[in-house]
Amino acid sequence: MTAETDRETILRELLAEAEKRFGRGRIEALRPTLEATAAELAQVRAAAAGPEVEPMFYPHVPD
Amino acid sequence: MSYAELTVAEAAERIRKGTLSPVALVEACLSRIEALEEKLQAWVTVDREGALSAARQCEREAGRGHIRSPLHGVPVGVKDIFYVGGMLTTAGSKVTADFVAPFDATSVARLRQAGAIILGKTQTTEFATFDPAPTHNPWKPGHTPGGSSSGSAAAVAARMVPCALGTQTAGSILRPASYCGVVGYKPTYGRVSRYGVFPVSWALDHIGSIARTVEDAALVAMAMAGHDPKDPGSLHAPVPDLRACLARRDPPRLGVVHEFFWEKASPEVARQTDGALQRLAKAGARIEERRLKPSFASSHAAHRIVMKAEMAEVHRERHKASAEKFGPRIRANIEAGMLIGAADYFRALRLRRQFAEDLWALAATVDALVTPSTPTPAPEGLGSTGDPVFQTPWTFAGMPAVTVPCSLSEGGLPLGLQVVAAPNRDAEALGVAAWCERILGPLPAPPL
Repeated sequence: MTAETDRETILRELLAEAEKRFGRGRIEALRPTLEATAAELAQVRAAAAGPEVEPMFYPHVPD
Repeated sequence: MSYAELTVAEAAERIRKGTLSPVALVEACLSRIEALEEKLQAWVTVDREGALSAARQCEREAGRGHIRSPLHGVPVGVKDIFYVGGMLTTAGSKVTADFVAPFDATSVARLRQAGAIILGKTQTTEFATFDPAPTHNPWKPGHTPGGSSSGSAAAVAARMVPCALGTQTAGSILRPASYCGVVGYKPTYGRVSRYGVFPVSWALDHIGSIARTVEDAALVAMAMAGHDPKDPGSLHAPVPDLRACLARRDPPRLGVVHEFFWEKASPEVARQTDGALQRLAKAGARIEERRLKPSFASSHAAHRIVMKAEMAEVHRERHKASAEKFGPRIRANIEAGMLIGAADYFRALRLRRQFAEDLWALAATVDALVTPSTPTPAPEGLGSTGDPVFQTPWTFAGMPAVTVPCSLSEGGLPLGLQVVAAPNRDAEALGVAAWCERILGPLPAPPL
């Protein structure tokens, strides 16, 4: 695990950014959602995506 | 029997034969709404005059032998995130409490062209996300009907309307349909236009139908389906005859995914789903175990990252203008989405491709995959709409999915069986679901 995939580190970064953008008064209300988001980001960053895999915006089957 | 008990197909057949007046059908639905709405709170708007006027028009046309489609004269409930021209479209939010839609969503316009009658707007969670609607489950008021298509599922189950529209970004059609003991159908991504529907997430939103039979759900979806140049995610492929496969007699080959789904299901749901599978096997279905690929592990997280990031952009201007008017959960998710960086968003979309291709390949090995529709029956309380965890994978991969009622829990709440097929194999998904429906039999009406 690196700092990039550590959920506690990600949560601290999210909380700091949230305070900057939405104010200290929003932190208590945001914390549960940011905790969930930190866990999701940690999982997404840690998951392996092959270098040749492009993003899929519309899940259409190729013709 | 009240006309409100009729299915879409039954009502349409009587209208075609001239033995049922569309006006009488609409009046029966309005009476049912009048009797039960205070208890269930399934509707935001009931368009009594508009519906009766449209019914009279349908009646005149039928009298001249002009039947527009198998939906001619059939009332439909429309989730309150679809634009219905001239009608209040609140999306369940104080932010848009006074918004009157300037035009019909493509899906609504196509239903009208098909002769369907817009009965009104059904309750939704706020912008089809997390903050619940006031709707009760018809099987047990005080329990959630699920969401976000809460009012559509409750109204169909309560025989207020024979069919209704829903949308699904995670589990918002199949979960409420399952909790309310009715059929929910989410077509392949892009099969039904999203134009004129408040978005949750452009990459994830699907439009579908809720009804009391698989045939009815297919009829409603067929009337809406087809390419729409106004929706950039719309499929170009022609719409197959979704009803043709409903008469399927050959027992299907079913892939059962025990890992994850049976692990997350409550013991009662696992036991009852096993019982349903035994009945299907006894009727000839070939049941085969299927294993998930490693890409499944991060799929729920990747779905949430895409959804939150897109929600932030969908609501950016509304949030800037009046953040305090949003409900607490959607506001928190919009703000969390604003903190997600572009690289993380694109990583989630790259994971989606890997995951979707794995899941498509898995589904192509059988006629359909089957799982329980929900981990538990409808939870008690209206503070949450339950867990979409069993729908999210198929939604993320854009695959067609159907829930059919399967049994009642010990507490008297409905349980569903989820049937999923490879993308663009909607006809197969519906055909297998209809076969399962015939074997499992109908549920009784809720004890209202």
